[in-house]
Amino acid sequence: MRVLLIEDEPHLGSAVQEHIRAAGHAVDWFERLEPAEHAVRTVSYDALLLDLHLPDGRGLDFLRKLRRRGDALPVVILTARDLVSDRIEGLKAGADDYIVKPFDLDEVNARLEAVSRRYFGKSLPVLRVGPVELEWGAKVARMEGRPVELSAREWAVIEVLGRRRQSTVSKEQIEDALYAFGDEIESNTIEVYVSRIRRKLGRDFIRTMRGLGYRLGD
Amino acid sequence: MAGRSLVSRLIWLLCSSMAGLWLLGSVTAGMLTVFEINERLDNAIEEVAQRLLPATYEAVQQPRAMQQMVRQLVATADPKALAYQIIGPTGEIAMRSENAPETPFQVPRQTGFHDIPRYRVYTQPAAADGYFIEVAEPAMHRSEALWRAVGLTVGPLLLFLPLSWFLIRWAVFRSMNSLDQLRREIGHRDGSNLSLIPDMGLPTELAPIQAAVNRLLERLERALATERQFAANSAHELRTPIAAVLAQMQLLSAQLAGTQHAERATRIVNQIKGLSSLAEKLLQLSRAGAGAGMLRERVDLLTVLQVLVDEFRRREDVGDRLVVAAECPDEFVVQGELDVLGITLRNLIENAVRYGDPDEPIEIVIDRDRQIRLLNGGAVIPSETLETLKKPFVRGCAVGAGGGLGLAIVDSVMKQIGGSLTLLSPAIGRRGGFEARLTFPALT
Repeated sequence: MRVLLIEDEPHLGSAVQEHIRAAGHAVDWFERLEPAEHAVRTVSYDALLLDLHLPDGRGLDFLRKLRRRGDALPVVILTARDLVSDRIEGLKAGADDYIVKPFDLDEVNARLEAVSRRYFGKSLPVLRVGPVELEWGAKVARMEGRPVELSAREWAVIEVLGRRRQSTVSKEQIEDALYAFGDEIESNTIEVYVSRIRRKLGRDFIRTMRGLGYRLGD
Repeated sequence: MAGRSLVSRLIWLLCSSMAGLWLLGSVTAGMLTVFEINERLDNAIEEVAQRLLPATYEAVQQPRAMQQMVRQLVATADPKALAYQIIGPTGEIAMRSENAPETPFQVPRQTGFHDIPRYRVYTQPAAADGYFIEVAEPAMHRSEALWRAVGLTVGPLLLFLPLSWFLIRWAVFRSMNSLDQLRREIGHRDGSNLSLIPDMGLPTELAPIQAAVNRLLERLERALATERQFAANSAHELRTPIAAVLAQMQLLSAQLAGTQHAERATRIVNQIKGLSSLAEKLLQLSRAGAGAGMLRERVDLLTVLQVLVDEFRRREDVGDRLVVAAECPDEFVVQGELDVLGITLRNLIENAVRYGDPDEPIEIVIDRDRQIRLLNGGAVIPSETLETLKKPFVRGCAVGAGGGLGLAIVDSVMKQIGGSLTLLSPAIGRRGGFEARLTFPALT
């Protein structure tokens, strides 16, 4: 999952970015709305974490603009304002969830994944692909009933493919979803992760569509 | 006179002053009347004596004519009529009226008035040498005349006294209407109503009081608004740095997992969370104390509850444990401030989550009789502990991360909007648990 984080407090922003990255997701972090606006127009994000009070404007205005142009990007508001009226205003503006500062970093990950699942039709808590069973919420994978340990990056690759289960996902799309601006990517990184997942969950779990990309097996 | 109403004081003072003045006026009028009547009656006696003067002369010179005069003058035996005697040079009665005593009046033979028992006598020398004319008025006649005159003068004044009391009472009550109106308006102003007193066309004496009260209300409103704004801004300004510290510490704690410093890092994370919660509750308490219930907008509590229930259900420690049962129709409208009511309900739910049995449901029941009940499981709380839970910094049990401010905030807000918070344990209809009941006032 590739996440856009807009937060002007540097210590908080860096901690959130680091924590989400540790969960295997890519995070582009901006402290101002203007570069974030440019990023959201050029990159296909899976979720947006949005602070409301930013040096160059209000987060809610940014959100309303996003919704006006039909962008359905899942948005979680991160704010210091805890009043019911603020919450109602945020939800009315098109936010999917609302987290009040200070918060648990794990809570941020959980909420991000929850809204992402709601958007991408993974509301079913368990996905079965052949002998493999995936529990999205608990991040537990089982092969013929036996638990299999997966790294955060491996989970992230599976999530990208699971989110678009009915279609083929190109290598570039996976890279976009997994790596933020400035991250260094080896040319064969995705192949390495796919190979590792196949070793753990079986060759047929991920199918290679020659010249096109990858998709989850049936 | 302490404790008596201004109206009764005014009536009492005006009536007593009026009665005093009338008494003084009556006494003065009575005295003047007595003086005038005495003067008139004395003149009349003197005049009668003057008229007798020539007749007496004739009678003394011609005794036969005297007998004739006696027959003419002594025409009445009325005891109240004037009596006279003509005294001869030797002191004997030469002539008298029929109603005059048979013995001479015991008065000096000098011109002028003399008072003796039963008579006021006027003595005057007659035209004949050695003779005196003495005209006497019975004292009874004079006193009757005086009393009648005084009665006619003072009586009507005394009759008007009760009427004056009614008029004074009516005038005072009518004049006090404006003051009463102003008093009622000021009386309606309290912690939940600082609206300005409307123009009531008050008299010039009261208008400055209304203006001064309005200025005070405006100043108070501004001060409380500033305090509320400060509390809201402080909450905002504090949360962001605390969030940054907490997030950084959580990262560090994760990095230290498995090392000898892990436990200390976890403790610090928990302390930051506790500090954050305490700061938030203190600001909420400050906000609740700063006239939080003053704004009397109509708020549908079901909307507020929906937002809060959605939020709490996302929490792992709450989830579907939080259930809502609404016995009333589609809305539950109360008067207050949306965010303050939100703070109130949030604190109540947080209290149930923090101190209730984690394996039992938390129920929110919205009753028809303008009540919201929040029930949670747990051991019965002793009644002496229940009494103290509304006080700041008092916790229901020793365990739990709460600051002991939640119920104090709820109680403060409910009092300000004219409602109440009732705490019960065990909950009604249960053998254990805790029930917090919010009762909202009727809409105005």
